[in-house]
Amino acid sequence: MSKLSVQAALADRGVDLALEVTAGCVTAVVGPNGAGKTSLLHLVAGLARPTSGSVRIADREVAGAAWVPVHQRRVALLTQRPALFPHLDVLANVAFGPRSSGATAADARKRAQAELEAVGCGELASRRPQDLSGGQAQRVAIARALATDPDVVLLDEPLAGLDVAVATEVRHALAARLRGRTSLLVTHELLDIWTIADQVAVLEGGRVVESGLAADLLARPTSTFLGRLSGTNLFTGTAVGDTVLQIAPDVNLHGLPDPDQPLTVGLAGLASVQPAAVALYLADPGGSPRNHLAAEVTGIEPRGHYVRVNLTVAGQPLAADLTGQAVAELALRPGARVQAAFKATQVRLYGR
Amino acid sequence: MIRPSLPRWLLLPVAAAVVFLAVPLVALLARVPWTRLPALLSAPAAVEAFWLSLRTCAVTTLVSLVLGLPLALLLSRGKGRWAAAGRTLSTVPMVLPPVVAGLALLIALGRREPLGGWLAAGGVDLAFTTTAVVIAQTFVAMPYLVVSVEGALRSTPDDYAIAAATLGASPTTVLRRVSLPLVAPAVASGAALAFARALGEFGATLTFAGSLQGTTRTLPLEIYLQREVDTDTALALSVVLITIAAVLVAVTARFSRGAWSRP
Amino acid sequence: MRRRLPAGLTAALLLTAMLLTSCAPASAGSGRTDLVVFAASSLNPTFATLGTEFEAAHPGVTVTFSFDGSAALVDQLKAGAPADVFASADTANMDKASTAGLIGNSPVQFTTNVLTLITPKGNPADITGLDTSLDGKKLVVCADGVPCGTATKKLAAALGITLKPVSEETKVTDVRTKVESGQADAGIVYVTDAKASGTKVETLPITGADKARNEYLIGQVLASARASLAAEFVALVTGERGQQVLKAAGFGG
Repeated sequence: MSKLSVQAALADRGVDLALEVTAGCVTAVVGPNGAGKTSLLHLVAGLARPTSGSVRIADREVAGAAWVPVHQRRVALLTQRPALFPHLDVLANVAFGPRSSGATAADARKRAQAELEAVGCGELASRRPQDLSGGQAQRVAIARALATDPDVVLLDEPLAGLDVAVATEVRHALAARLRGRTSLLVTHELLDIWTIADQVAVLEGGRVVESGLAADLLARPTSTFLGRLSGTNLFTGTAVGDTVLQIAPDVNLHGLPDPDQPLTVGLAGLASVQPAAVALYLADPGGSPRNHLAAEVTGIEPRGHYVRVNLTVAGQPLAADLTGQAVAELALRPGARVQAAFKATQVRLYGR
Repeated sequence: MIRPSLPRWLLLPVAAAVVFLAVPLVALLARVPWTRLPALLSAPAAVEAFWLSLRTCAVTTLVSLVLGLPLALLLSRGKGRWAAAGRTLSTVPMVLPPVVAGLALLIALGRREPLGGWLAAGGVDLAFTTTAVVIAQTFVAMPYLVVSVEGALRSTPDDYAIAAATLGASPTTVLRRVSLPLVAPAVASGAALAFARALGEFGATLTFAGSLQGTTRTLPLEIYLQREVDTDTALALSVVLITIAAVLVAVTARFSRGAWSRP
Repeated sequence: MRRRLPAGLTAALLLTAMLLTSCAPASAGSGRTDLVVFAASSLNPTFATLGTEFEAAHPGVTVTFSFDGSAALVDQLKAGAPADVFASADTANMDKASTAGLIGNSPVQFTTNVLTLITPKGNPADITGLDTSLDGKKLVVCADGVPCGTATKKLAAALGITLKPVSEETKVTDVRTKVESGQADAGIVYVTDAKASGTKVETLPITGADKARNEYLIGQVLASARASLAAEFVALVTGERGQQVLKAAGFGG
């Protein structure tokens, strides 16, 4: 367990970062492209030299006045491409780290086999990387990275490029193996934050603009945070049924549970609904949609062909996309009270 | 899936190309006195030339590996003017007429020249020695190895070396266990090419090293001599060279993929 | 609609047509006659001079020389290379050509050449002759099998000495250049080569060099279509003017 402290700048990339990661915490790093997420990882890994400032891992300065090269930093890096060495079999790949640190061949192999089992790839030991599927390769890469017992684990969108079912498997493997390890996980996926992260850092324009506990940010997502993700509405709450999430006293959301992460009654859950699925009415419409919520308009943002209407529901933000004509017809303006309605079939529910 | 076929008129230039390449070889092989081959090839001069060629080419290939691999590694990472200059330098001997190469070596290392004279004063007299043959061969053959390996190194993605470094491998370990093994096929085919070029090396050897049986008269030089003395022997030795060349080309083709396929 | 020939086929046909027409003999319809002379390398400067004089005396005639090792020239003649005159540096090769039925009238000996010792300018290795001064020095000779090499071997045997060369060259010009450049301490070449090298080398005549004398023969190629012209060239070489030029170059030793 090691503390990570980044107070460093990369002048030529327009990046100036200040981030403290608690030992043993997984921090999700979100932000638009070009915000500096990869620069952050490069600074920690030793693939970029800061023009000013320093990087400290476990109270040792690795960049700044001192410089510790990549191979001496005990920092593991996982990217979209597993980069498994094609000329070695899976076991030799995973044993590579321990061997490079001086372990005997036998010890390294034992350690490698254990790591492979831990990600559910134990039987793949003698296969060649070329014969693995995308999900298997990524899990082997995780095993390989963890076999070195790194102080910090860096992940750069490791699940991008995997199809949904495979990504879910790998996400679970990550959640299990990263528990208790200081990690930085660059991601665009809400689910990654929900499933794996303890903390979140939001980057924009080369700076950290927001950071905090993942649970807090999901429960009370700021618009900054929401804007950096896939642009959905999020609600956290407690599951009161297979398809029902209580987000506030007397306020329930009905939705479809995610098959891979179903709700468990009594435990925390997450609901997401796209702004385009939210309809607004001046009075309760009745009809088929299961979700009718009282809401108050807080802002109106014209966005070309549609209008983003920001509202508050049960104290949490909700965004609805309407046509300009609709907004005009309903005479919506900040302060207006409306009914927000959306179908249960357009709400995704995720359990832990 | 059936590929769209090539236009039929291509067969004409293809036939011309095949004829162009095959006719000289076929003509040579037709003239070879096949029945006398064993007798001709067991002549002492022929045997000595053969072993001298093999010995010198083996040493040349080794020297090319020792000197050429580091050069290829450096060039593959270089960007900008220095790298371009380095690349030009290492390719020039490839396109230089061999006799020019021999002249250059002579001017550099001949004992009447500054550097050569300094070496000679120190007791190192290179002229007319087998070492001179290896030097001449290495000068013309090493570029083939450098070019082959550099190309493969350039096309190897960086992430393998980066992954290895993050896993704790020192730069030497990365080289030893990842970068070089990944281009092993290119190293093999580059070495085969270098060997083949060294084997056929003639002009530079003749000008710089001289021609003495057992010391400096390699196969090509022996053929050059026998051309004036006994054509049949020259033809017989040509068959040996052609055979070795064909084997080396087959080795090169086998490894011509250049690098391991990506997972 | 008329189909045009595919572009590639047209190109191939044009190329073939060009190649075929370029094979026509150069003199066809051009009014010039080409006399092709195959001569041993050592005859280079002298024959070139005689060639120029021959052209001056025979307007419309161009003399083309092919200088090469005598054995290589015989091979080329056997392969059917077009030549009108052949001059060889020794009897052995002319005999080979005659036996193969390539030569017309009996070839005549038109000059001789003997060997001599040369050293780089200034004789840095202090060579005094084919004696002990050569011990440990770099001596370069012609390889046994080529005319000047066979002569060298014969001479050494006749003089009762053992030569220890560091290199045995296939072409006598290679021996010369190695001595001229100072790479070698001494070399055994023809007198004509020594003369051609001029001040670049020191010449040490070999006593008893006439014991290994090369006889140069000249003959008309049987297949030649310009027999009379060829005969005139042979006459020039064997005649007074030819002998004058050859003697001046060092032949006739």
